[in-house]
Amino acid sequence: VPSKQPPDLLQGTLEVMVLRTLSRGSNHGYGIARAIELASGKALAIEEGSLYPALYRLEKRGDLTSEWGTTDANRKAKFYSLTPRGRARLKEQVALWDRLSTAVSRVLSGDASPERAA
Amino acid sequence: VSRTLFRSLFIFDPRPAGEVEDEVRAEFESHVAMIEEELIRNGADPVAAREQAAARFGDIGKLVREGRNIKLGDRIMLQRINLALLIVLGTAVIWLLVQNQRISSRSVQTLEQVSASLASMEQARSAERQVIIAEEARRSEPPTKLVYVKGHVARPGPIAIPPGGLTMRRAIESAGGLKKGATTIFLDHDQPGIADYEFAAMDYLGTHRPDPSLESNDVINVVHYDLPISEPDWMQNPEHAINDSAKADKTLADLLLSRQSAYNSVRYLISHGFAAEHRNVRQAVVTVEKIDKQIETRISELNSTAK
Repeated sequence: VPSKQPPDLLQGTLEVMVLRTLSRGSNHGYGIARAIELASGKALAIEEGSLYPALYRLEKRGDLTSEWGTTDANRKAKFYSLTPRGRARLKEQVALWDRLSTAVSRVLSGDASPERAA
Repeated sequence: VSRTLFRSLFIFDPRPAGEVEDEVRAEFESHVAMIEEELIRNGADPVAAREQAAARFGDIGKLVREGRNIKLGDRIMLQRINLALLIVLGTAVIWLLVQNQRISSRSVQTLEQVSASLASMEQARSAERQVIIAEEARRSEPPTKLVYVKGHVARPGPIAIPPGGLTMRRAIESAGGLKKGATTIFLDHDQPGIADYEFAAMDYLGTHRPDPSLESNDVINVVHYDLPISEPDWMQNPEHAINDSAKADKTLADLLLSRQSAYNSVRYLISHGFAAEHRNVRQAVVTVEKIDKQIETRISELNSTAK
């Protein structure tokens, strides 16, 4: 069972995960949530109550666009796509996340160099 | 940040809020249906699957409102700003209208006061002008010309010369007429070169009535002398005693003329200082008395003839 993440973590990472998911192609809310769960090895479960506000904020900022379409199961759904602006933001966020995760990993592993600490 | 702020201020969903809510709700329902299908595919009971799927969303109404607010948040904010601005502007307009009304009211009041002051000033000026006009008219009027009647008349005093002129007789009438016993009328002309006159009062009353025109400042002086002549009866009321037929009588006319001449002699002598006992005066008086008797006789003759 995927574990629920605290909101402050989701707020910071959910948007970049959504952008990353949509970088592979347009998808609807349900598809995005399932894709993140699968990509995380079911370690993360996305709450719909957090997902949609994140989608609407990204769309409002111009990182996403949306349009109604039909799923493979012939169900009507709203599909979100990444805009060039969203793609650029994803690039920035991924780079930022890499630096942050590296830094956090170093702190956790006790591998920080003394020069830097000084 | 500035671009984001710009977008958030000027790019917003233009659709009505209800339409946005409907769309959000439809998206959620689609999502719930997909969860439900997945649960059923995994062997869940349809009813339980529906309940479980709905439970994933929790309070859908709350989520719908949250989604609507995110989509329309800026617009709602702008609407609120617009509303606030409208209220401020409306209040300002109303305030301006009220102020304008007050100023107009004050202006009208001031104008009325100014008009009243001007009217009052104009009234005062008009009254002043009328006084000036009256004063000028008074000044432009020719000075009143007067003659003076004094002495033995009923109301001695100045008499104004009317525009048509004035004669001695009318002047004496205006002064109330001769008093009984008036003897001589002196007319002193004010202007040089015009002779003064002296009339017997009898002449004035009798058939011969000299009536010279008067000039400004002429003086009529009626004098009374005590003449030593008693008045006969017929002279008390000569108009009655001497009727029209008598007036036409030449003898009587001659007698009256003679009497007047004799009377004037007495009057002249007395008025010029002769005493009543003077011989000339006495002689003239005797003549008058003699003529008076002849006149009485003749009047009686004429009256008896007329009867």
